[in-house]
Amino acid sequence: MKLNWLFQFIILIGFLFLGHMIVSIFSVPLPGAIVGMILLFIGLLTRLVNIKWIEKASSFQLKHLTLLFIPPIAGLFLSSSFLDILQWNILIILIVSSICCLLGTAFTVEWYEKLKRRRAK
Amino acid sequence: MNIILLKVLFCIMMTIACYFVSLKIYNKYKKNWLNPLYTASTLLISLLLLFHVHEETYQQVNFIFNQLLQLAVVSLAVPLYKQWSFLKKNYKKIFAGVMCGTALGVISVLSLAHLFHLNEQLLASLIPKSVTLPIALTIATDLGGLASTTIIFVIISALISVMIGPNLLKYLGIKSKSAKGLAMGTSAQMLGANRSLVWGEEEGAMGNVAMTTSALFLAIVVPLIPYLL
Repeated sequence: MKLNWLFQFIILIGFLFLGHMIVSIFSVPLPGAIVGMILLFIGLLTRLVNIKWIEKASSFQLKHLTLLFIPPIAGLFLSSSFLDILQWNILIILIVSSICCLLGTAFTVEWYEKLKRRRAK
Repeated sequence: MNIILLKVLFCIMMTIACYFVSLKIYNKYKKNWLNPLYTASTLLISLLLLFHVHEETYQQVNFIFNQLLQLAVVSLAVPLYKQWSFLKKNYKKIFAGVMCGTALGVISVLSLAHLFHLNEQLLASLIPKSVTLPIALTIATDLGGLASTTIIFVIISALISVMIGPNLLKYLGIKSKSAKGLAMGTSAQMLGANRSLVWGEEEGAMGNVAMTTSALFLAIVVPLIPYLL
């Protein structure tokens, strides 16, 4: 059963709407897109949704995901508050905390894997 | 009204054109620093400045692309589903890594902000910076931060992580696929998940999971922070 492109996108849009609806009705403290993703994921797991129905559209979107990041970056440089906010101390905080977050995760996972390997021996 | 519509349409076309030109260049020369994210952004910003596009006009363009980004978040369920059995086996590792990373990120922001005597509003906009954008916005407004400031922080810190992350991890000798994917997803969310898909399906799925879990984790923990201080 192969649905064409349009139907694949309509299914994805449907899940996005469902997510937004649930968020607004039950006032869930999460964005609608994430709720929509979780719903679609549950749908796939319970086989209510066949992966073939959405595979083409979703892989097309994820392949060109970079395109969707470009507008916010461009908007950032156009925005007037950009230079007011960006002082050296904030820049330092952003750089240091990003690295802390990155390395914190990476090293925890590495240590965990090492620990497990040692136990396996 | 029609002029605005035309302007917005023109900007959309320009954005897409910049992306495809950059993608062509990247595919031709295959150099890391030619990543369309950097080249297309630079190209687009120079074009926007050249045509004197207003901030408000481009914000409308941004709004349209944001809808597409939300749709892309929904389609992230597919790689998650494909890697599900693998993720189920590794859930302890994922939780441990994401929580340590997110906690370290928040702690470093808090301590540095204390050191620099930042005001509370700025701090409130800084705390959720390493979560995916839509969630970060909700958290920031809950804490009393400014939404527009948070957007800037989220994008800049994601950019920092994507620019130095892969090289830093390589330099420090981190080879584990899960470690790389999780680290990128936790610190650079969507951008990181996208970057780790370049490494492979396993890393990509890890990056995606890390983005989701870190966002959920912060959304639950952040309301508690004021009580801890």
